[in-house]
Amino acid sequence: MIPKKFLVSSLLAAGFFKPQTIQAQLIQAASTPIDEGARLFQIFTQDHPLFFADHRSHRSHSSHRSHSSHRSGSGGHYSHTSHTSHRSSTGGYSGGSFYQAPAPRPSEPSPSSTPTPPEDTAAPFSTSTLGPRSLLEMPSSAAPDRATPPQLGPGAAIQARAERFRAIVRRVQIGLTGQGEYRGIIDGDVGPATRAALRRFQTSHGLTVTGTITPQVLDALRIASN
Amino acid sequence: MIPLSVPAVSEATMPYVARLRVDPAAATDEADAVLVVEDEEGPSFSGLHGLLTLEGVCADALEGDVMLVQPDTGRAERLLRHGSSHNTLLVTERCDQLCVMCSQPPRKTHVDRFALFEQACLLARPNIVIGITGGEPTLYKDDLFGLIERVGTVRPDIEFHVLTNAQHFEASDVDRLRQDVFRRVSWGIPLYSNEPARHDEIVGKTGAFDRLQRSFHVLLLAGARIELRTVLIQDNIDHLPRLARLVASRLRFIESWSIMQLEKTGFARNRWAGLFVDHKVGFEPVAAALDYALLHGKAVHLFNFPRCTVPAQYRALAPASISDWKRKFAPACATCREQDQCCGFFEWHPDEHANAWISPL
Repeated sequence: MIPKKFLVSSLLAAGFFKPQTIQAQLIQAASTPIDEGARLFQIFTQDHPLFFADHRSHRSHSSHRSHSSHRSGSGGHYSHTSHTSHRSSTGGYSGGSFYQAPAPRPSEPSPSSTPTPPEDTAAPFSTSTLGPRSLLEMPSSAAPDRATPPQLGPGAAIQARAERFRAIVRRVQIGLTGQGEYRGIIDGDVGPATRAALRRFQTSHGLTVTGTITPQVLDALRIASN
Repeated sequence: MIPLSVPAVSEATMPYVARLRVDPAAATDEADAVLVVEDEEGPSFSGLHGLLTLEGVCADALEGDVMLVQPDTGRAERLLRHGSSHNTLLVTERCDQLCVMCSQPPRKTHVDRFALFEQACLLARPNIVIGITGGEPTLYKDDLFGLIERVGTVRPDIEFHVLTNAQHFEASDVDRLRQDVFRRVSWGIPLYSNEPARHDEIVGKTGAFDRLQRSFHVLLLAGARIELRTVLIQDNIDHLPRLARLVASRLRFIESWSIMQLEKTGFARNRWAGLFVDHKVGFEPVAAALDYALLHGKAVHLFNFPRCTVPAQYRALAPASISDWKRKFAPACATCREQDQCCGFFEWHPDEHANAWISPL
């Protein structure tokens, strides 16, 4: 049985979490090679009960999806097969919930234009008018209002998929680093060091020890919420 | 077509089964994986086996689905789709027959996934029928019976429908098959002709007809439920009325008989011209068989027969038989008022043929 709620706040109150100094958090944030725009936010959210909240209610904003298909010019809904064609025509948008107004803007590439350069030159995410709701919703590889490069061929698709996966793993690694359980690089790979850190974290927090990224771990690290 | 397999990235190294939950409150089993986040490309879930990122399907469409995650191929199979009544487990790709019209030609390899399938069945939503197919499932009879017995004991609400060539039932199986759990199993067994030589020829195995009769004996003694299946091809269409006599007089214990139209895939794809029978043009043998079976109180159905291609008086026997995930309608079907009752066409059926064939009701 998986407990439905992990009472982080009461554990905090009971002193189960290791106290973290601001300095430690700064070091951690500074040593993180990703998420330029996310860094400050991370520092300020680390100690607040700001959950990766309501992805449920968020998802229910169907307008998000229709807007994105709108932008792609495919006219399809986000379901089953249509979004595949959507992706292949314009490239997907990462940080899905941060969409801007559907009207084309000068800074936005039109479906036919050359795609924007990849991640390292991407604009900071603060161009969004919406505040990020959680670490997970922060863009990891591209600014929210830019298209990612079109994915041509299976290799690119696999890479994009793996990148979405690694973005979450990186956040777990950051969280584990913050808890003092992980000292490796934030690479998004669930390798032996990450597994060991997960086991240590699960043990010290009385969670089911699996060495994997379970819902309990995500809850405890405040990366996901109930 | 509803995708049954989706690209997946997972942190696991071995295949595992997980049930996907969009609503964490619905997670009641340790095999439940809950939604972490969803973006334009697809959702990510987290469970006991860790993180799982999927692509090409939105989370809502996956709610309650029982998935088989396969790290080696980078895909996840939707073994049991929550919203569907057409869920089939392919337990092996080996077969000891080689039917001329086989829609899923066998392979020599076999990957044993029975343990994973068993876990999946235990996670199924209540009161469903789970199809088991192959290849030939009874090549692994002990594994198959074991799965049915264990799942059936824990989940008395689940029924199984097993497609088998019935070449492997033995007298020694009778006691086992008489157990209560097998009352919820129906065996779908092909019989293509009343003439042994013709049946053997069609299934590509000498002695298959005789071996089948022996299995019928075993199944009769066990009180097994049998659905007989006859795919129509040019080689057996004229035998159909006599096959009906065999079914109605000699095989009285058969629960129902399904006469099936050809599926243009597998071997039938390239042999279409030499196999396909246009029943719309020559319905007489089919009508004669139906009349005889009905007169003798045998339940009989026409599977994969689009309703408009069947004479009106037999139309009630042609249900929407094609599984949801591979069913489509031809462009010319657009104006038809009986689509919801109709089998439509297999996804891979050429529209040109369908368009020219049908006449919307």
